[in-house]
Amino acid sequence: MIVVDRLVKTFADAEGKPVHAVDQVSFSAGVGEIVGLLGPNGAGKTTTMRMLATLVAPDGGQAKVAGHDVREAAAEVRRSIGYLSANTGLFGRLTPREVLVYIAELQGCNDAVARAEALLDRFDIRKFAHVACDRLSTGMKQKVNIARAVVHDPPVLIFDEPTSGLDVLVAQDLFTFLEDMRERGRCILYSTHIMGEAERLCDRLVVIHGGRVLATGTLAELRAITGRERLEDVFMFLVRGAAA
Amino acid sequence: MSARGPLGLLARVVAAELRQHLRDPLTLVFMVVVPLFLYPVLGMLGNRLVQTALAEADAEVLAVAVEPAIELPDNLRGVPADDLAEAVRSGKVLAAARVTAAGDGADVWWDSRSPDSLDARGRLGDALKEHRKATQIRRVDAEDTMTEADRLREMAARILPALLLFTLLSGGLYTALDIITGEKERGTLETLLSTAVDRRVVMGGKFVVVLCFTGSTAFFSILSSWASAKWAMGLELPMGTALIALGLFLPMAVLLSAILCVAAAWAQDFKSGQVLTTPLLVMPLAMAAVSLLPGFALTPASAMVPIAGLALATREVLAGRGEPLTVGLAFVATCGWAALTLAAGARMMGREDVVMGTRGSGQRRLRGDYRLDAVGVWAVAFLLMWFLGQTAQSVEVRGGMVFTQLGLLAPLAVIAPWWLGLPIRETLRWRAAPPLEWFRALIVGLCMPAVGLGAHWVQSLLLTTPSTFFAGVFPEDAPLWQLVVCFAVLPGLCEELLFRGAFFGLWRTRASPWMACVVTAIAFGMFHLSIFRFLSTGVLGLVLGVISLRSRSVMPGMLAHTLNNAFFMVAMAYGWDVQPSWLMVLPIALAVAALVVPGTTVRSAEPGL
Repeated sequence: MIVVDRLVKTFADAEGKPVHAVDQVSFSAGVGEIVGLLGPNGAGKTTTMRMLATLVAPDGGQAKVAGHDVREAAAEVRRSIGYLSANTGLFGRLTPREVLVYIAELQGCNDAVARAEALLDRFDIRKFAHVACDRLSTGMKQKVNIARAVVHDPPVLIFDEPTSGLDVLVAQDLFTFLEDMRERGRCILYSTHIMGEAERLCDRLVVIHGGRVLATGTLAELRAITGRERLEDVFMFLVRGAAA
Repeated sequence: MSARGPLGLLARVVAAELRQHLRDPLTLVFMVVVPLFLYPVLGMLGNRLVQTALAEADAEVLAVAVEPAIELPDNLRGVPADDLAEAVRSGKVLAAARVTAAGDGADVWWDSRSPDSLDARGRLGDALKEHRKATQIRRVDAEDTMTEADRLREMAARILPALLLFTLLSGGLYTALDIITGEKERGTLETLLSTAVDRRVVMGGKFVVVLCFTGSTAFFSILSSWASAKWAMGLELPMGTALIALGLFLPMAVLLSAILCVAAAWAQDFKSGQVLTTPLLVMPLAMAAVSLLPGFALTPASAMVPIAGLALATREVLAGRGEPLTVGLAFVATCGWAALTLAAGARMMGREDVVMGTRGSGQRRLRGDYRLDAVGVWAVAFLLMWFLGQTAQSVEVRGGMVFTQLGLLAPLAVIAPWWLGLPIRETLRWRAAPPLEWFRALIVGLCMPAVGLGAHWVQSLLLTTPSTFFAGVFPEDAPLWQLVVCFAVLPGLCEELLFRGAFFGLWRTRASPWMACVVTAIAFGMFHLSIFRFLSTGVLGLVLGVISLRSRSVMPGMLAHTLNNAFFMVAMAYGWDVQPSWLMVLPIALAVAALVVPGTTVRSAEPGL
């Protein structure tokens, strides 16, 4: 479902010198699979995900999402994904119901209202359905945002640090939801700084640092490569090794 | 425990806040650069335009009626009229006077709504004073033919366009900032852009919302002003007139909405959005303020000017004297400006770096795009010229000119590429040219005075140059060699180095050679600090650009520029009366032929950096 092949994105520093935010990154994610994208701050995770969501254009390499090229078929890619990040906010003066109907319509759903109503129940936000999003708690906002990302029932989910700022209860709800999505054959790309989340959710892991992929594989494979047991130790071993 | 007292802590807070805000380049730009530019530009345009308008008004022969007839000066034309007051009221004449039967006094009628009538009243008064010397006239009583309501309507017609524009801008400004810049900050823009909808559709939708707000503001403003005029001022403004004014303001709403959206999209955050849009309140208001200034009439030429044309048209409609054709022209012209702005805005708002806020000086330079730096170089040159160059030249023209060229412009041309880390010689295109290109520059340089005069003649059709414009610019008593060195050789070398060298070289980094040539010509025209010389210097800049383009070097243009300026110095020294004439066609044709003749490098691509 997601195939990333030598993807490159270069920005510039203040002097105009090139900074490779993403440098020859390659990995893939299949149907019914949760792939974790792990890396320290500034590793290139968000930029990679933004390229897959067609929000920024790659400078090199290729990426296909649900069979569509991110450069040549951007609209089809966006129709095929549910994208959630720290930068995807909600319309503060609209209610959750209005947000869900609006986004469903933009995604081309004919049954926008029915979808919105179903998600209000699915995420247990019906009693807040008429409250302006600005007045919701952080956890409730994130629930609405997740519902917003999946309102068109996309085959691919791209979630960038979705548990940031959430309490344990809401985070657990999210994990259950994502596991359910995996069961239903969705392909999920999931980035996080919390190793426990990755251990629980991810079928495979991609460790990225300085814009480059350091290692990919299942947790067992990464343990074998590094000789470390806990994912946190595996991660530290890979990142410190790259830094050295 | 802090060792500082309250004042020390206060100073610490001030220092940290200052550091925080002064590190924002936009704050500095709008605190320093905008005031430095705003007043020179307003002064240059406003003062000169008013001068021209008044000069044109002075030259106009005005119709008056005098009973019994007296001798009138050349700028007044006597028209017979039975009822003098009615003749003024109906617009048949601009002012009228009747000398009493006893010959000891005169009654004058005029129309206080019309600046021309005021002018005619003044001239007629002067004529009566002259006449009085030979007669016994001891008093002149002036009577305004307009009623109180007429005067109120005229006042309202003058003030309302600028007021409407202000309310329209304030109506759209907050909306544009909120739904574009604010949504960037709140993340909702990214939410929208991650849906299947095209980026331009998203931004187009936002534009329509801003337009709804500006349009609604225009509607409510006109409704409110109509009601206020009726109930508060007792002024009957026909509903049809108010509706026409509203119709006229709709394309203005489109134009301003597009400008606001582009500014809001360009801003990376709410603060920079506010900083960027503040001048948008000032500049259009300054342009609309022409409806308040004396001497500005709605003509086919002024109708074409964005914002100002429509402000004048609205004034005429509200005053009840709008000519349908000219008002229609202003409407169509504003629609055209709105369409152009909309097209440019759509293009800009579709750009990833604008919408996602990933642009920056580093990003531009990584792409090898130095066009904004070229604008910066021009801006620095403009400020240096305006504040230092003009001051130096006002003290002593020749010394000031030497200082401007050698002390300001030439160093700027060399420092700019060095500052940007670019190869200096390549950027300035400082390279030898083949003999054929020097010959081309020689021919064109000798013919260029005719090209400049031709361009000046064309410009004079639209904008009359005051007769005193060139007076005192050059020291006529100076030896010819000094004139040639100061006003021909030095500008030829230094201005070419700056414009066809640095500016062209930087603009060329991301533009076609011809586009760079045209932009450089416009920049060169604007640099000469005068709207009366804009077209002539712009056309000369274009010719010099073509020479530079064909030769791939800045040097031959220096020869042509020097020859052009030297011609005028020689003409001044020998007292030649250089005026446009049909004979100019020959040298102009020769210059064009010399420019189009293929050279040794014509098939070679203009090399980039």
